Amino acid sequence: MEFRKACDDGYSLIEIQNMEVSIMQNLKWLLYPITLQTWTDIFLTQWDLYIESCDQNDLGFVEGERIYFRKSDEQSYVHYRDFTQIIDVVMLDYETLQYKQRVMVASLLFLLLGDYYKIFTKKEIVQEFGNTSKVLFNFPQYTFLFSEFLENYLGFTLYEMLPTIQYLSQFFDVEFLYELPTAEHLFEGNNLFEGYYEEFLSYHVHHQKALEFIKKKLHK
Amino acid sequence: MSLCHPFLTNSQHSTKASSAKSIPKTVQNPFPGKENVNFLNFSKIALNSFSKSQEKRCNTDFPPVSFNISKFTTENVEPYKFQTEANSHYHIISSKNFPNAGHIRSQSIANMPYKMPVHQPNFKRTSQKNEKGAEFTSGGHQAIIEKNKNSISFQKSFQPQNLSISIQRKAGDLIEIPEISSPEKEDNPEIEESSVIYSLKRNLKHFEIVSKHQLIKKESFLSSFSNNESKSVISFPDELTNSAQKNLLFFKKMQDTPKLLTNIIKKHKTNNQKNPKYAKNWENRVDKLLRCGEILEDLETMSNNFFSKEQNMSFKTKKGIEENNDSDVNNSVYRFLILREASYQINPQFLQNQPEINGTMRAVLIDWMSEVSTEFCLKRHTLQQAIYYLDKYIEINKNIRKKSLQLVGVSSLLISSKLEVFLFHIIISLIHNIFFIGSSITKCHGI
Repeated sequence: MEFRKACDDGYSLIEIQNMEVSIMQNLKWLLYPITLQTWTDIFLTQWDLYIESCDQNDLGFVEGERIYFRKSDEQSYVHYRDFTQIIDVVMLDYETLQYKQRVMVASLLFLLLGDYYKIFTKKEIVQEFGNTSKVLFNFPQYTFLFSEFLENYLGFTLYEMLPTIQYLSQFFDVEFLYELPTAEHLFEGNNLFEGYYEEFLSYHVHHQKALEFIKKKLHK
Repeated sequence: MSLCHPFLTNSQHSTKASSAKSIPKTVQNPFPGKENVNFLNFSKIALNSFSKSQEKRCNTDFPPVSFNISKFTTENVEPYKFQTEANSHYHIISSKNFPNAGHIRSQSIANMPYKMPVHQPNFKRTSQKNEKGAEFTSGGHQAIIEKNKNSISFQKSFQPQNLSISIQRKAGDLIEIPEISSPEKEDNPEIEESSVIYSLKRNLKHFEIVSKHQLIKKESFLSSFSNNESKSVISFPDELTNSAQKNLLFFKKMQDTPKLLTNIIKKHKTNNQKNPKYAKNWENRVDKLLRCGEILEDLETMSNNFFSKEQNMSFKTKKGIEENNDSDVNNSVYRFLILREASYQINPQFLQNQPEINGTMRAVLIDWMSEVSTEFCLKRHTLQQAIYYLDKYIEINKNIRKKSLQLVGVSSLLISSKLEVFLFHIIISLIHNIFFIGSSITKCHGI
């Protein structure tokens, strides 16, 4: 068993097997929860479709190009990795369980997109958004665009998202690292950016500085 | 579970509508006896009754005014126009085949910000903005909104089977709505009817607006039904009709009861402070009721789908119209996910019962788990599943020791890794090979 080696032979095989059984019995065999990842998959694809069909006139207030997450080019891969890394960091914090998962994913989308479109900066997010409800009122054009997206596809409003936005604004200090997943060698035969890109996106990458960050946060 | 449901507390329109036109709160039993109810029939009656009372509605402060035009044909098409004031809202829903409809919205003619929904990837839309006005094309159709004349006209190439336009207007605007008369209305009533149902199940925002409207139609239908006591033409299985009845009733209640419900809860809380157990029971009941509401709404859309599918089938046999019913799946799947999320919740105060474990230890463990999962090339979803197992286990069992915490983590990772779907691309290439070889074999044998 490779998993047994991973924890330095701390536990015997029988112990692990017993624990497996007891976990499954405790959960009453309800083993397919909905995770943050399912919501990210859904919301990001929805966003890509939405922004693609948006008219240029609506995006007039934005500088630069449209932002995608799941397209197979380098830029959107960077966006996707930013998104997932923040989620990785957030997962470590036990306070996340107070908030609804889909609302959390949506508010992360909101903050990140605002950062990419240069509507507000990361400094602003970290320093000001945590305590105030400035987000909802200071950027009318952007909030209009986003709330349109929300109401049409996700079914809730920006006002419901406010507490999660305030909570998530703590996490925008995190450094972003761009290592490729170790599953990369599985794709050597194939061209990465043609066939199996979605598969490639779904592999996990360990974020090395997340623990330090969370420890700092919890010690405060 | 909170009271916030996407359909109930969402947009401004709903509140406006509820304030503008109060819907009667007493619910009659609309289906006396055990008669089978024909959904389609009611919409037809409702539409007729509605079209008579259009002019009255325009004078009052009632938000959406909508009407349907069915059956454009190539021969008698003149560019269809109607005149409005400058600052009124448009919702144009056009469809050639029912499910694949575009939905074009322009806020005002003067400003022309317009949006189109996205969740149908196969459906191409373009929009251009000229000096004169704006052009929309959707699925081969064209619509022109002219700036100066304040009118919407559809070109000759715009030949939808079915077109429903709803105009949302502010108080004080005047709208002249032309009389809509289609020559084949009486011959083919099915087209119109299904369009009404169809407009019910469009995307969320539109659903709200139309559904408010639909309610009134329903009521008018109900009154007419009770008067005439007509029997249904088509008979459906009993379960379905029963669910439809419940849906109708419940939907009516749900439309204006969230505020009422909260008020009732408050009252009960204040009344039953002496008996907290009873109050708790009551809250639970209300929660269950609300959940039932969600499920029932699902059922309603399901039944609507069922009806419309039947219709489409009949169309197929008559006229050979194709159907693509992809877009409807999106909505119901999304709602199903929300329901499941509610059932898989974890108590956020799960760490308070544990003497030996705290938040940092959990963080360390999850960090280690993520390291392991990168080593073993696991997916993101499996890790998060494992974290869910861990949290749930901690929530249920009290007094977990430090030593056994890692054990829980490892074994939950093991379980979730066993559930993972892996080597997807290899499977696909296998299938590809099989098909390729199979086809070559069949060619060789001349089958």
